[in-house]
Amino acid sequence: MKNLRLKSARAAKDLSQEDLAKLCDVSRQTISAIEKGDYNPTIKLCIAICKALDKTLDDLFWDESL
Amino acid sequence: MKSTFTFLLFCIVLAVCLLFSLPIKKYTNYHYDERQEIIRGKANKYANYTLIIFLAVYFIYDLFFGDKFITLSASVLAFTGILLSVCIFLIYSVWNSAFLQVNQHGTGIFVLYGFIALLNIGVFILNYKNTTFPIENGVLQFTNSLSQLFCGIIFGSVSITYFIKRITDKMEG
Repeated sequence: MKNLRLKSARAAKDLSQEDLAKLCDVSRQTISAIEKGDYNPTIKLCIAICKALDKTLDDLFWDESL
Repeated sequence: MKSTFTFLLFCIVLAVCLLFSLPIKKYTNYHYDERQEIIRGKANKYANYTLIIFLAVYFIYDLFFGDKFITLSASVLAFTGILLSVCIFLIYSVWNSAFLQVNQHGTGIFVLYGFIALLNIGVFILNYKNTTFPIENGVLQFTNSLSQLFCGIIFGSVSITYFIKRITDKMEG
């Protein structure tokens, strides 16, 4: 399932996938895979992404429907 | 005498490569991220399966048809197994963006790989008329031109996979 909240949070910060990848010390393709829903990140990477985007885990990764 | 010299030369080249590769690892911050490590683990698994399946298929072939058709010498068999499994590992890694490390830009590397592939295949084609694949008592023996062809296939497949992946990524936007 696509993570549109991550995509919109990134866009709101005016960051490209490349920029966010550099902030989290991962490859651009990894950020792309998370946004597409092709890869489930570890909690460590989730926290790094949340810190980079000033969001909480609930804001970006908690899914009520599951 | 010649083979001893070749072996010594190989050892020296290997030692020099190791000597230069260790400090490079130390002073660059290239690393694989968590997704890439998982992908490379899967690539390793598929490469192992490929090797096992190839050896199993060859074993059955040798058992039933070994005395009727051509078989492979031990070195050709090993080289073919390595070629297949390395190709699977590299193609899977490259296709899933897990070949290059984080922050590493790869177009130059893959152009170089393409060039190496062209050189190897070019030399193989140029020598094709003079090339004979020695078959002794129905067993295909290892030759230099065979190794050039195999190297060309490995480097070529990696390079082609990378550029196809780039084109498909651009088309997806």
